[in-house]
Order: sequence, then structure tokens, then C-alpha cells
Amino acid sequence: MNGDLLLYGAFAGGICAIAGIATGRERLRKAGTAALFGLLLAATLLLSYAFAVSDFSYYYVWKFSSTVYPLYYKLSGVLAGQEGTLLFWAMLIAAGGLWLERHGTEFARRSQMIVVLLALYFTGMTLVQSPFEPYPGSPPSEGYGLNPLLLDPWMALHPLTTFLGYGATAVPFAGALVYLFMSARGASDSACRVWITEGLQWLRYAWLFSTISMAFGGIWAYKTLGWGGFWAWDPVEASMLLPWMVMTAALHLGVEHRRNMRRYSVLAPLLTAYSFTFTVFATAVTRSGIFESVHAFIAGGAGKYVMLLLGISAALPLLLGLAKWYRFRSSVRESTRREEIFYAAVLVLIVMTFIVFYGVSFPPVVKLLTAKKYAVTKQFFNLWLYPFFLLLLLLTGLGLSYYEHRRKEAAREFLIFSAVTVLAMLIKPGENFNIVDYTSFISAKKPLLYATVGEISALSVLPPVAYILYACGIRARLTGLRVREVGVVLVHAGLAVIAIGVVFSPLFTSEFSVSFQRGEIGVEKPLMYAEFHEGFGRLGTWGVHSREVPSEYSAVLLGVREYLEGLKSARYWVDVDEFAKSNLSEGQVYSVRGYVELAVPAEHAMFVKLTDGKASLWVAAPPYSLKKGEEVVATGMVLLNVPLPDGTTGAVLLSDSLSFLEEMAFRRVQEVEIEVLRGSKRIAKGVMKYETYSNGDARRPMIDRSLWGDVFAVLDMKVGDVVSMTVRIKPFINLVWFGVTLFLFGIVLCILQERGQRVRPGP
Amino acid sequence: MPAVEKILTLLALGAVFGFAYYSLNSTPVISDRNFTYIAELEWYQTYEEGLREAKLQNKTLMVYFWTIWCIYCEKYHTEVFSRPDINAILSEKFVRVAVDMDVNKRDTRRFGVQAPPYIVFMTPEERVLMRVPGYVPADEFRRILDTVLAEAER
Repeated sequence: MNGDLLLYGAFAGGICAIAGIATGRERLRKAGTAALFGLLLAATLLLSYAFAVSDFSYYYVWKFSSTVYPLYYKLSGVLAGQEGTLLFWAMLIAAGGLWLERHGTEFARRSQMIVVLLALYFTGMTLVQSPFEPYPGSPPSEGYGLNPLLLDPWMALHPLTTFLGYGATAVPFAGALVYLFMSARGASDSACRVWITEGLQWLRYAWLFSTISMAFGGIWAYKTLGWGGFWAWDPVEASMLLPWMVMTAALHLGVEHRRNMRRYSVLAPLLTAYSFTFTVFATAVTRSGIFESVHAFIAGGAGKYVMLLLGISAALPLLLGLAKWYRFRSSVRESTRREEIFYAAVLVLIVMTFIVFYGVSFPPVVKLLTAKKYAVTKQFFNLWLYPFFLLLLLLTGLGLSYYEHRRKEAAREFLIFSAVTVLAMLIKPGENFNIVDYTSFISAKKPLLYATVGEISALSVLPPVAYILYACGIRARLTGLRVREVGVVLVHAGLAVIAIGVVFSPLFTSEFSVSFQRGEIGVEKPLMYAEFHEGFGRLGTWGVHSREVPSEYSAVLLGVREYLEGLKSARYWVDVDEFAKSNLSEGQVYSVRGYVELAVPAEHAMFVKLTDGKASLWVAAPPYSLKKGEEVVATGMVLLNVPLPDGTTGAVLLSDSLSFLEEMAFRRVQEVEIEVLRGSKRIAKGVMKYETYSNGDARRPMIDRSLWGDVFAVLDMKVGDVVSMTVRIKPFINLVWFGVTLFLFGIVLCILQERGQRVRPGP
Repeated sequence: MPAVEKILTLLALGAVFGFAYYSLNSTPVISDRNFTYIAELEWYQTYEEGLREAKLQNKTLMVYFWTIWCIYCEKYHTEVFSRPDINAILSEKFVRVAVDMDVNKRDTRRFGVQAPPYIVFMTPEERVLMRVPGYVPADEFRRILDTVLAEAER
């Protein structure tokens, strides 16, 4: 079935829905919205089915799949490229449009109009760049396949969670716009209240999935990109952080807005709307090709429409917000201390968001305009964000522990913890406590501010973290074990734990290198220091190490194995023995598999004797360099009664090319097993792999986890005569994952509590 | 808007503009339309431009492959190329080309370079004098420069 037809149908359905909403025809609207969602869902399912059964008549399926993948990797191909993600995103937005059918208010109709328009826009983009494009020519029996780096269970789930999060921002976006529009025209707060009650819950889902998605992406990067880092301030990572930061700000301000709708009646909807805008921005960064990044897959045909959508979704909320602000300059004159703390924290978050946004967007923009290229590296982000990060953590502690009746205590605690933080900035037990290596490239000019921030000690993160944990304790004691409060406490405690992990783990990572001769099984060699420390966020090492000093650690090579895995297409040959038994007739074409026993050069060709242990066969083939025992498949015509090199006469297979089974394998795996010792004590043992695919290579590290940290080892290159590897000892890294887990539990609890006691909209 | 919040908002706006201004003025420019700037030296951006200049001046050509995210390149810039003696030799005796591997894929492929940093020394007649893969500390790099120049004389 042609999937494009489903897309056209969905598009038509969307237009009916718009017409239905505009003219007030309920049946048309209902049918249109349902058709829009239903047909997009059908198209998504059709595409998933095509992936599941490896239907390579679709170019998109061919490009991102292979018959040898297990089902989940096949299905992960659906979201591997722009085409599939646009379709999936359109489907999610349309689901939001359908969900709005539950509400009968005018507010819901207007929101639905916007959501359906968005879904239409995404459907249109999907049509421009359709995943149902047929394969040019007759479809091959095997797909090109995913980039081998993406063959990872975490990566299979990362795009799914990303787009679930992105998709959930559409309804709050629409709600916020309608709220700004209606309230600017004088609608009462009660008529619009639904935007924040329902919008917050959608935002929480979006926040949950965005958090999961970043965590999965981080785990994948840690495992797969070889440099063993979870975050590198790559433009795509940074731009993915943006919607998350805006959502965080919107959620916090939204809670205050819901408490009192006269507060933050412009900023809360503006931030909510921008949660969506920044998801579009992230997509533009990923797919527009303007930004240099490991994620910059392919600059696609829908790129300019993404940019257009970005422009519209950035301008519209801003204009509506300004209009509302201009007409109703807030009549609120008084603020509570609690609100002020919240507001200050949200402002800090907005400043941080701006720093990230600016860091991502100004270099390419300036480069387009003036051809000047600026050096914005991870040091840039770390330098600028760290002071604000500390401030945010301190304010978080204050916000958590602040209650009207303990006003004085809260202020005192805040001052004490802040003072200790400032003191801690100056205490450096060692060289590697510097937050940023300010001697690096970014500060070639050594500006004063950079040199100063670069000197801050990493210890300074501990007091704010202690403050948050202390504040969580106070809050838990004062509020008891209410579900929502436990959720809030867990989220913030998670943040504190993550903070220690992300600051200390890269700082105290030690990196070593060691190499063995392939045959040195059981030999113990000292790990050589490559670099003592990497600095905050200094990830990525290439090239020759400058210092090589033996360390207290050593490694023992336990084994080296090599094998082939998975045959790319179904078996299409016979073994030599089956061939010999079959009834041969001259001129018939056969594919025969066997092992090379003997190769005799002849003029312009060679005779190869294949065997499988039971029978043998002579093959005439073009000259190859063959090794004895190599497994090959020869395809060609049979000639009978030919004089053979061994003096007899018999059948010969006249083959114009030999296929090496190795080339037909899904991957060639080299496995190296080592154990790592500290002194004479074993601290880690495991297997690392180097995998060679037809479309690229991937290195899979050995990660031996323990409570205090990971031992991470990865092969430097393909195993030849030399087995050379990089070993990293990464303390504190598991705090990051532990913190993320707490964080996620917290969000889920908040969502569940909200579901339990939501105020249902009136009739 | 309540007074306290007004002040906070102004502070935040100040932080945003202060940051934008300060960072724009302190973030180093690494290239413009004509040259790449590394270690206060001008580098040609493509092999062709460098080769043309090397032929004109009859000087040895140094082709340096780098990327912005490579920390050993950073080390080259801050510890090796910027050391006064090396800096002087580079500026007087060599025509320099810096190939940003993320941007100039053509020259990267032409020299078959896999990973930065990577340096190729050549005569104006395109005879390769030496290939230096990876990072080399300053003292050793100085010796390499001397060897290359002696070799180029022959």
C-alpha cells in the first residue's frame, strides 16, 4: 500500500477539522480530527511494519535497516531519519488534537485549531520529505543499515523518548497562545484556567520524556562514542537541553501562576509556548545543516520549512505576550517572599538558557554573516554556566526550605551556605580541582573574567549540594509523606546528586594506555598515564599521548577472539558435498560454498580447489589472493569434463567472482578480554569489542561498574598484531545515573499525584 | 510588577546583556574569510592557496590538520606553536596551512588524514618531507622543524 495516500488522507482530514472548527460544525470537526490522527497512526504503523518485515521497496527502510537486525533495531529505524521522525511527531501532535475533543469549551476549540494546524504543518513536511519514497529501481534483498554506532539498546529508545517529549509540548503551546490571546481581549481568568491545569500536566509528561531522552542519550554517548563522556556540549546536545531548561522554568512559574492567575500571567504562558519553540529549534539545529555536530545527519528537504516554523513559533508567542503586557500591565503590587525566591531561581534558569542558546547559535550566525569563526567549545559553556549553576543550586535550596513560619531560619541558612560556597571556591587541594582549564584554547586572550572563573575550585559545588539535601530533609519533615511532596523532594535531591556526578566525574577521571602483542596472553603490563586529569568536561582524546608514566594500575590480557556474526541475506548456496551429489548438467548456474584447499595460478585466472571435508570441487576464477582454509562462495556456470590441474578431468565451476563469507557477514567482531589490577588486587574484568560492519566500524567498551565508579576500557583500533587500548578510571560517574533515577521517580510521582486529584473542567 | 521582582528582572537582563557583550568580545576568533588564526599566526585555509604561496616564496609548506574539539590541537596551540622560538621559526621559514577537518573535507581526504592533530611538511615541489601524526611535545617538535628544514635544503 502506498503510504503517501494515507498522508494525503490525513492532510485532507486536517483541513476538514479546521473547517469544522471555523464554522462550528461539530461532526465535521470530530470526523476530521479523528481522520487526521487515525491516518497518521496508520501511516506510522505501516512504516513500522515495513521495517519489521524489511520491505526494502521503500528507500527509507532500505537506508536504515537490515534483515539481520533483531526486531527492536529494525523498529528503531523508523525514527532514524528526518522522514520518520516528522511523521511520528505529526502523529503525536494530532493525538493532542484528538485529546482536546474531551473538552467542550471555546477555549478548547481555539487550542484545537492551533494544534490541528501544527499537525497539518508537520504532515505537510512529511509529504515534502516522505518516508514512503520508493527505492529507485528494483528493491535489493538487503538494506544499507543503520550507522553501527546507533546499534545500541539505549540508542534504539533515545529518539522515541525524545519525540514523545517534543510531541507533548504542542498542546501546552496552543493553550498558552490562546490564553494570551483571550486574556488580552479581556476574557476572565476562570474561562482560561484550564490552560494551566491541563497544560502543566502535559508539560510534566514532556519534561519526563525529555529527561529520559537526555539520560538515554548520555548513557549511549558514554558507552559508544569511545571517549567515555556523557556530555560534550555538542550543538545538538546543547540544543536538546534548551527545551528542557525552558520546560523546567515554565513548570516552576506555572505552579505559581496556577496558585494565583494574576501572577506571571505573561511570563508563564510565554515560557510554556517556548518549550515547543525550542523543540523546533533543536530540530533545526539537528537537521538544518547549519550547525556542525556529530548529530548533523543529513540536511533534508524539509529543512527550510523547519526554519519557517521556528520563526513563526518564536514570533507569535512574543507578539501576543507583548500585546497582553502592554494592555494589562500587572496590577499586582505586592509579592510574597516565596514568590520572589521562585522568580529569582527561574530568572537564573532563563539566563542559563540564554547562555546555552547564544553559545549554540551565535557562532554559525556570525559565520554566515561575516565568515568569522569563533571558538565556542565546551569550555565556553562550562565557564559561563558554572557560576549561575551554583547560584541556581543555592536558590533551589532556599526555595525548598522556605516556609513563612521559618523565614528567619531560612534566610540564615541561605547566608551560611552561600558564604561556605564562596569559601570553597578558593580551596584547592590539588591542581585538578580547577573547574575549567582556563589555559586552554577558549581563553587564548586570557580575559580576566575567564581566568577568574577558571580558578574556581570544584569543591564549591559541595556546599550548595549539601544545602539542597538539607532543605529536602527539612521539607520532608515538615510536609510528611504526601505523594506530591515526596516527588518534589526526590526531583531536587536527584538534581543535587547529579550535580556532584557531573562536576567531579570528569575532573577525577584518569586515563591510561596500554598495548600488548597479540600473543601475550596472561602477561601483565602496567597502565601508563596518558593525562592526569581532563578538567571539567574535557572529553575526547585523540592523538599521541604526551606523557607516559607507569601507574599503580596494571592490566592482564586474558584473551583475544575473532568471529563473524549473522549472515546478511538468507542462505542461497549449496555446500560442496551437496553440489557433488546433485545431478549436474552443463551450463547450469550454481552457488557453492567451501573452504580453500589449494589455489593454482593459471593464465589470467586461477584454479581454486574448494572442499568441505567430504567432497571437493575445482573452481576457475579471476586471480585472488587467497589463504588456505578461507571460506568462500563461488557462483557460476558448470562445465563438465574439463582437464583439471591435478591431471584428472571433471566438473569445473566457472566463476567470475568469489564472495568471501566474511564480507557477507553482518559484522566481524574482535573481542579482547582483560582484567585490571590495582597493585595485586583485581578491580575490573571484562570484554571489549571492535566490530567491523559493511557500513562502518564501532568500538564497544568494557565497562565494569562499581559503587565508587567505573573502569572503562576501549580498543584504540582494530586488533592486528598489536592490541592497544585506552583505560579510564571514572569515579563518581554512577552518581549521575543514580541522580537521574531519583529525578525520574520524582517526576513520575508528581504526575501520578496530579492525575489523582485533577480538577476536572466544568460541563 | 512588584518592586523586588522588577529589580530581579533588571539584574537578569543585565546578566544577559553583559554576558552577550563580554563573550562576543573575549571569545577568540579562529578564522575569517582569508586566514585561520592559531597561536597568533596566519594560516592559509586550503592546500591550494598555501601551495601557491609556497611556490611564490620558495618556502617549505606546513599543512596542519586540526578541529576545534580536539584537545591535543589545543595543546599544540597553547604549548607548542606559541612557544617563542617555535613561533618565530614557523612565521619566518614556513608557509602555513591549517585545514579544519570539519570544514575542509576535500584536503582532509586528499591527504588521507583520519584523526587530528596531523601535520605534513612539504617542499614547494610537493615532495613530502615528513608526516607527523598526533601530538608531539614542544622540544621534540623543535627538533622536527630543524630536521625538516635541513631536509628541505637538500
